[in-house]
Amino acid sequence: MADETEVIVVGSGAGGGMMAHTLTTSGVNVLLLEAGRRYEPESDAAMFQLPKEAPLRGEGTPDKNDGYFDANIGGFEMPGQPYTYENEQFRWWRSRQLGGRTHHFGRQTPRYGPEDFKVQTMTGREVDWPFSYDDIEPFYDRVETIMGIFGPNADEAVYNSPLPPNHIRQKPPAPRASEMIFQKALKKMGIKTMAHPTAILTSPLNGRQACFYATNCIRGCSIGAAFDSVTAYIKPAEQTGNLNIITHAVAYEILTDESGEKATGVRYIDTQSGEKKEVFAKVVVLAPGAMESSRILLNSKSASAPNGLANSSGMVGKYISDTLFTSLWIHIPELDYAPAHNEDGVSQPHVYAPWWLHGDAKEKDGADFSSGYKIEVDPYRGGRFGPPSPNATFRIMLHGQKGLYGKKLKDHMRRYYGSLLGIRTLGGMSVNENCYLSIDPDVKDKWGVPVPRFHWQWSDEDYRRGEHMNKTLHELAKNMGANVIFDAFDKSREAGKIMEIAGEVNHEIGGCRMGDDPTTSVLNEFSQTWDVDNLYIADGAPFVTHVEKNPTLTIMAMSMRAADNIIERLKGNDL
Amino acid sequence: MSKKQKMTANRRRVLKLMAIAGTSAAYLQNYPNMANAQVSQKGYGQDVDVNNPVVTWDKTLDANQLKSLSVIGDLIIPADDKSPSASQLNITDFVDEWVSAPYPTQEKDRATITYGLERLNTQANALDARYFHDLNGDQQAAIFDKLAVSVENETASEEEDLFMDRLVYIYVGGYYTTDEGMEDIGYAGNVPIETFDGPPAEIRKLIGIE
Repeated sequence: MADETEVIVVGSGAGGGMMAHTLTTSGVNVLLLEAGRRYEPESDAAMFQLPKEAPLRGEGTPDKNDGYFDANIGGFEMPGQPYTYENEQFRWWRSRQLGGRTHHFGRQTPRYGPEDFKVQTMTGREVDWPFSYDDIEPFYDRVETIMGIFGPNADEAVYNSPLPPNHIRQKPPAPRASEMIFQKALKKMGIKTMAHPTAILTSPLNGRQACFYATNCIRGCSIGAAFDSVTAYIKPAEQTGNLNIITHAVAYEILTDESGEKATGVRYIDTQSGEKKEVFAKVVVLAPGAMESSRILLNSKSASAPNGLANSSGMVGKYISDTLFTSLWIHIPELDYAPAHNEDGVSQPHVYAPWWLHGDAKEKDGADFSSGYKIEVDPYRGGRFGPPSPNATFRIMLHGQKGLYGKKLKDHMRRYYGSLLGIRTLGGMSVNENCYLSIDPDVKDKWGVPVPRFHWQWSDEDYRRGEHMNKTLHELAKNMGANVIFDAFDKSREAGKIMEIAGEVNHEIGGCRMGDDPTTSVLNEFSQTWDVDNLYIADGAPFVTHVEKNPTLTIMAMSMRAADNIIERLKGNDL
Repeated sequence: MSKKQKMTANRRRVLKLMAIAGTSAAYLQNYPNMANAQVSQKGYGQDVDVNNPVVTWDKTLDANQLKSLSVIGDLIIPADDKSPSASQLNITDFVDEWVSAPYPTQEKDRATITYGLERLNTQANALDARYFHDLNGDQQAAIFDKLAVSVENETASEEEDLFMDRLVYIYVGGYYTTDEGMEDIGYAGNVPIETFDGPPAEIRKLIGIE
């Protein structure tokens, strides 16, 4: 190992793991700071454990929000590490473990399309990214090659939902019964469906095994079939000999020289001793998660940066967003009393409908919002998806069943198991100035570091998109021959909201957006801060628009692009 | 949080629970566990050992509560020719685990269920029995059916409605996650397979997609 740390990477999830992998495999010496502990998917992931083996049959609690076996250490609430919000409630999901949220990750990895980077040009709304699809496409290819992905044949691609080329993608699993009904109904509606690009192996890759179609990916994957940052990025990075890792290190401040234009290192809290420590390097890369990146910059105040580091534009913390989500619970009578059969599959949707309305068709439809939404069968609600559990299976089966007990109850369970399930839409969000985070003037975490205060307000455009999503789901249910038993949107609508609580889809991005103009953006197109030459951000913070595609793949592609830029500059002695 | 604050918070919580349950001193004599149930309970924390799952709290229901629940469990899930009853699978033990857990949903369920049991005892008292489980089978079935029908007709009180809903949810959750319960409804997964080829022929036929 080289003597000197060249780059400090804060955070080991999708963005940080990818950054460490790209740098170390190119011979750059990296120090990785991880706030949590080592996490070994091989031994730490719960694979075949049944709900009956867990306390409360695995039901989610404030300690383990998504159930006892979820591979996430942290969640929406962490003792001693609060956050606050004004107006609409925002919930902030966090992970404290090597690999970050990639263990709990749903593994859906659609690419952003050409229009998604040029929303302003195409629609006159929001703003454009400082690069185009053509600029990022090679990085999508490279990321998908490393992590492994299944998806449809590339020829199936629809407008603005590009697919990985066939030499990269692996064969997708067949649809489940409910998904076949879903596909047939959408076909009737003139909406195309296909396999969902997903970072799960269906053939072995680089010593990782193929999926065996059992146990939920959010429990982590001990065979390496489902992508995670430890398996695909950090372990190979460690093998180069160029990676040092410090765990239990909560970064809270970027150190700079007197000019404030050069980062010199990072201050962190050693959570095991409670001590505050400092590390130094030529380059600092932030990838602790989008909201945390803004928090660290805003908390890095100095004489030369009184409003926080890299914040001369005043844009740090601004324009945050999360995915718009709505679902229906439906009953498909055709599946009543269906004979036992195995529908676990890869635990994620096997098929989906990418957004289909563009140009004239969109105008004709009156879909008056920028980005659209995708449609899927919800693999976490009802159906036969994974071992039955109270929250995922029985909540929907008992919905509205007043006073049901005894023989009737037993018959009810036999009849409706598998025929009650969820269909869902995940939509873009029209990024707006009323969604941002600032630093709470009063509240501090247990180490005395000021915490973020979230401000959230959906825009009118989001309401219109939400109504459209809801309308389509009802049409879909009808075409599936299904009865709607619960509409989550009704409840939110009553409360004057689109979703009851923002942040719950865990796709929160933005806060340090990139752009062409240093006065209106925090980063340039390589995720380098305008103000601090050797400071980069490699998590979800650089996002400019929020479309219906899950953000993780794009986080990784941008992280890799930033890493290439760092490598080039290190080679040219520019850093 | 200091130890003192913690105790205060717990005391406040117990007092609140007692208020919800309409608890009187006499009531507490019947249910001595309820007053101290929450004091020493500890959750499993955010970083659990998934390979060695442990219930970190004590079960707190008393013998009479468990006896009554066992009767009710079998009314909710009776045995038939396909699968056993709730008590044959000891699901009441799981209900005890559930309502004793130091988490908000479960704490609320504890108040709901102990209150509901007390209401049933009151009805048993009118028939000269001390507890619901002291009644004969016909009396138990009649009282429980009356409750269920009132919930169905929406004539039940809010507390009774919740009592029925939550009891059914917890018993169903406990029962249909056992091997016997999963087999009853036809869960056939959690086994490694080489390829996933979609539904078998009989299911394709059922949904009309060959």
